[in-house]
Amino acid sequence: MNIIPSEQPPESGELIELVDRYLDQRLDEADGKRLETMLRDNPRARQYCAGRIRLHTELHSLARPLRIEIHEDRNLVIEQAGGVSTVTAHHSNRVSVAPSTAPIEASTKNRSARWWFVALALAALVSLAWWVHLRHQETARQQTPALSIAALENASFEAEALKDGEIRNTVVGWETSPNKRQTAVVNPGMGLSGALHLPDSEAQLRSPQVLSLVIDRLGEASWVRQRLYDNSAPGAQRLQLPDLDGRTVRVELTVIRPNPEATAYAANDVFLYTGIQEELSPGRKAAVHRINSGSTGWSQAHQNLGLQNDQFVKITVDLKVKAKEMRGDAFFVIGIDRKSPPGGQIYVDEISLKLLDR
Amino acid sequence: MISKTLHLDHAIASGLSEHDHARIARFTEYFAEIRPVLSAFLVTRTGGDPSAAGDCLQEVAVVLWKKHDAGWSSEDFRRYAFRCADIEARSYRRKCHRLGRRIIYLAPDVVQALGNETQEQIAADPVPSRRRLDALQLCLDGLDPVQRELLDARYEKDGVGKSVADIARDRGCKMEALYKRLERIRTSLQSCILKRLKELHT
Repeated sequence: MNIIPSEQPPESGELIELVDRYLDQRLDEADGKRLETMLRDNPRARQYCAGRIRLHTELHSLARPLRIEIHEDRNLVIEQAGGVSTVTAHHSNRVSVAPSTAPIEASTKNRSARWWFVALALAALVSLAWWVHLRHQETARQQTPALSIAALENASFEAEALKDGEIRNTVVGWETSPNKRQTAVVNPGMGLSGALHLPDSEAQLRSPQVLSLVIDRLGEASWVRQRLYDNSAPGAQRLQLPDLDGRTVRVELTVIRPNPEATAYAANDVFLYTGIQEELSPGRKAAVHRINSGSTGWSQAHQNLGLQNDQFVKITVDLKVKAKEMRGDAFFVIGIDRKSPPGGQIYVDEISLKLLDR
Repeated sequence: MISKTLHLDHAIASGLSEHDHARIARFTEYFAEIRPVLSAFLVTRTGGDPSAAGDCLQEVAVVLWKKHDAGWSSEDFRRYAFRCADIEARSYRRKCHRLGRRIIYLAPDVVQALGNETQEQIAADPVPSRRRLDALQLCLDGLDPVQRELLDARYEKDGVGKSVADIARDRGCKMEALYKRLERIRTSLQSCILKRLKELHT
């Protein structure tokens, strides 16, 4: 039985067809202009089109239930010293179904009286295998299609504007360390507590908001990271660590040293790291570059910026990726090293990545 | 019947803490409520492509899941969702541009007006979105087999769906004729939804 009453649509045949073609991805330039004109000039046409879009999405949503897979890792650390207990909760989310393949470990030892003979034979074999490996790598390199890293999402750390000029501090598009106050998008003129941060430099920044990274008094340091995509192929495929092995990722970013609030941390030196990271725990880095926002004090730093408070600089960093046995999706990460003096704060803005030619 | 937007693995769900249950319940309630209007918004922002809109919606859902907290009202959730959706759609358009994919976008003022119209229609609707979907499901169940088959092909059960051109080719009929038949069915469905909602209401 058909329970549906038969009604003729009151709209013009042309509008019906144009809307259908729009939702069917079959509009050409001229059709698009025609539909635009109809929708701009005719409220009834807009009403009809909005209704059809709504029904269209409802039919799609019945046919295609939304499935969200959420994998969560939680670590709860409880430390007691004297009468004081410190509880630290780490909570990270990821959305992934890409298990890493563990390398096969060969640990068998062959003890023999003729060990030296075996050693020589092995050495010859290793040399041969190395030569074959190099040849194979060269061939594979020649056959590998050119990769290209897609632009990062929300690379300039824009934020949602709220009432009265306030913003929502959430870092949209990035996975962040758990503490929201340590990792936040802020107006560079003002810190989270409202104190003035960049009295002089703010006007020189191109985007309205920046990312604020903090290391707190307990030494808990913040970071953000984002999955990398290849945009050289249709469909923007996820980049895997082996894809980047042996390649160089050029990172351009703006680092800004805020004027610290109050006087508690007048030095405000921060040790920053940026790199290419594996997705899963322990989050090893296939490439890392260490930056000291001050001029001295961190022997591991590749770069000492020597920034003064309320000063910013644009820097370029080349990350040479060595994936070794690491597998799975590649992430770009930037954060504060735990060796930084507690209480330090740094701003980061305008990040762009580029995969250099071999 | 209540439509479930988020499908939870029952075994996992039963092992959740009270706090997690509350979090999931809040998320599913808020998300289910805004999903239709968010989908419509994304359709207009992705050049009328429901499939791309669906992908963006999934990304938005993941961000919302990560970021929402107990202090948010449904209005906070809605505003944040639209902000995320806007960013996702921009990201999609940038990708299309980089990949040289040809998409016909309507002018920004038209998209804006269309978005406002959609929101107004949904805001003016006295019934929750989920009830509308329930009514739509009842209407679909009441279709005659020929109409249902055509609609299933267009919106396919596995979510992929065929274009009208593909269906016309499969069936050896003209596209214009198919557009008209689909339009009649959709018009009938609109009327049926209203009728069903009245029945459910009374």
